Amino acid sequence: MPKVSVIIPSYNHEKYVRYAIESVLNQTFQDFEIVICDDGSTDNTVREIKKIKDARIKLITLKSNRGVSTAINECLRHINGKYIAHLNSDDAFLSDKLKKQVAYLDDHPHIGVVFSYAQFIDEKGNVFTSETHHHSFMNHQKNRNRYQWLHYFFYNCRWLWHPSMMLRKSAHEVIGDHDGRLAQTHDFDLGIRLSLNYDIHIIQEPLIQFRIRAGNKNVSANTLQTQIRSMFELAHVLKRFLKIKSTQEFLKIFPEESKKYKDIIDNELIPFYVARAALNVEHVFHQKFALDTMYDLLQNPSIANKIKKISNFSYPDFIKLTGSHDIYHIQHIDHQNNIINQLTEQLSNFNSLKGITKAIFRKMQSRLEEIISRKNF
Amino acid sequence: MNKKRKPKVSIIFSAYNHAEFIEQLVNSILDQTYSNFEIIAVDNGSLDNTSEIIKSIKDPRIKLYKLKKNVGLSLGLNYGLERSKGEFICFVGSDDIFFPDKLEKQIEYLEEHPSVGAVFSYVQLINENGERLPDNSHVYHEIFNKTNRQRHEWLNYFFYKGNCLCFSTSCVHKSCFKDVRYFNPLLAQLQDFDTWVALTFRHDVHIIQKPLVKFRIRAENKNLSANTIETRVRSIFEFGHVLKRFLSIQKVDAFLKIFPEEGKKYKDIIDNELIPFYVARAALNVEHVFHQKFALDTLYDLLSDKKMVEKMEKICHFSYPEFIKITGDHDLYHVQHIDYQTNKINQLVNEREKFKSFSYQLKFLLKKIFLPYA
Repeated sequence: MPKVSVIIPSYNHEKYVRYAIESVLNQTFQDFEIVICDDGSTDNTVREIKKIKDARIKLITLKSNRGVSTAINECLRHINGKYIAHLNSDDAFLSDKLKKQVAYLDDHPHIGVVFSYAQFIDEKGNVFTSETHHHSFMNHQKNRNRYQWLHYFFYNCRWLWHPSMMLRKSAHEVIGDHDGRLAQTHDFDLGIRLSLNYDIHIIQEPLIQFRIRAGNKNVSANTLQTQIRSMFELAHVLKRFLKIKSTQEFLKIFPEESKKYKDIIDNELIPFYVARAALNVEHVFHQKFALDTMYDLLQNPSIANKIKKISNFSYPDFIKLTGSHDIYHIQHIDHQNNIINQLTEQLSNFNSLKGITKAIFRKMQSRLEEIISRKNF
Repeated sequence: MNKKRKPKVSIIFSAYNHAEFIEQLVNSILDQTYSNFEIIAVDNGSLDNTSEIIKSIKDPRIKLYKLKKNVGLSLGLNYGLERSKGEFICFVGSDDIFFPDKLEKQIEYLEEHPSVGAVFSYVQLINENGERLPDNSHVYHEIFNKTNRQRHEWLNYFFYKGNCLCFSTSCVHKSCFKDVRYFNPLLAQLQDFDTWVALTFRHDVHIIQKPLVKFRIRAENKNLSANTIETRVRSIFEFGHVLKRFLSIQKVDAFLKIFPEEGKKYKDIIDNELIPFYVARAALNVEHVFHQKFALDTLYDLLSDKKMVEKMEKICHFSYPEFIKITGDHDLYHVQHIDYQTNKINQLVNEREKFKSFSYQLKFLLKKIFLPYA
């Protein structure tokens, strides 16, 4: 039985997949297996993988593209290791990655999952530094306890370097598979579930290489479509926080809520407390999550009674919220429409002003000609 | 021997700060050609003298309940419903007015048609002063004055277009509320619509095609359903949840009756268990964000069930990749539209700046020319 299972979902990365696999084979720690699931690549990715001969590599191929979560889950069904290391088919490990993380997990049994920082590489594999890339903040994360992480995740909806993650198989068995419905945030979703159960640790040095591709080719690139999808997904991912088990745990994650409210005393009302916290976050997906959660909760008359009694929150309060939280930006769209109309009107005024100016000029011209002709006289 | 006769009809309204109008309504009820009724007047925490005015009208059929605090329309109506004794229930907005034969016509209809659970009517529009407004003066005239349809046709209309049954014209068999929940207190704009949808799933409804109620259009958007940002925002939220009613369709046959166009488009509508999927798919093709939100959220929940996932994949060829595609395509939060607007604004501002510098140069030029002559 290998100590570590490295799992790699691959998709259309014929140029990079070999580099990724070799970065594993070249580790200073060698007791591993590699489980690759090709997610229906339409290029030569599978052929590239097959070129590498090593008995420790297991390859599963899906006929059609099923999404990264499904591919990861497929890998997870074939692992034997005690620890699971995630890798993307366009990223790579630095040579000490497995050694350092295995040692850390061996020495710290209460830690469920370990991460690291990352080095940026470009399409050609050249290392570069960037403090402006939207991922670079991940290289400055300090360690926190799991409650602080959950607080951070709740408000920021940002995850850590996923390809640096190594977790215990026992943790995977507790929290379960990656969610097939999620494409942008499946790793973040897993992170919340992990943190609800385990402490996490970041080794604060780069142990992986993360490839930044030109022209928004990263899965997490900020295109309109990924933005729209992320917003949808996050409203659902936030539901994981409804699983907080006790008010004690809730208060450790949301200490500022106890300063604001004195009613956080009933475990059954945790979904209400979570929704109330979300309601005060600016993002529309937090607000959508909050309103939908409250709507579902208040359907239950006995819970509704409890919320009224303990938190002094009742139907009229909810109805106020549904009118004041403009999830779909109706007001903003109206506002911008008004601006557009005003500007259009101004411009048409300017246009007619142009006409008037021309007319005035014509008059002036004839006047001037008159004056000049008099002077000549 | 002289036991009080049980009223046949209960007229229920929940009044909030309608002192100005309440007397007209109550008098229009007392003037009905049909007289075996009770009036359940719920003063829903009014701050004006609504209660005093009702009290001053002396008629034993009026029962006034005064709530200390405003609890919202739904709970106000439910409070009245719980106390009603009639076999038929008429709901009415406290600023509207009945025509004298309203009850007579509707009770007659319901008694002759026992399969009909609720009957409505056309409306005549009036203004704040009770004066008749031209029919085309407000969109409500067109919304409420619709011809009759079959039950499944109504449901189709509700699904795609929304409400068209006027609350103040309603007359409902009380027995319908055995299997239809009272008004949902979480809804403030669409609680009646929500109830009509639930009702239509179980009973026939009928519209008497004659105005039996004067429906008041108030100035400055004072109608409960007025088109303010707040009511629009709330309505969008609520519609998304009311649509969940359609998930309760039990049989494929019923689904196909309500959504015949889906039967033409898709050949996979064969499994009762997949009805939530069929409903969500139909909603996905409607333009409104609330339909799309409803659709995506429903699909999301469906896909959490492994057995469902297998079934959907096998019968409908729909699985995670198809779902992921649509979560990126359906721009619920109008991100793209807002981007478009922002670009347009920038472009217009640029043009304006050009004009500004043009007029500045013009001024400069004129000064240069005319200053020597000043």
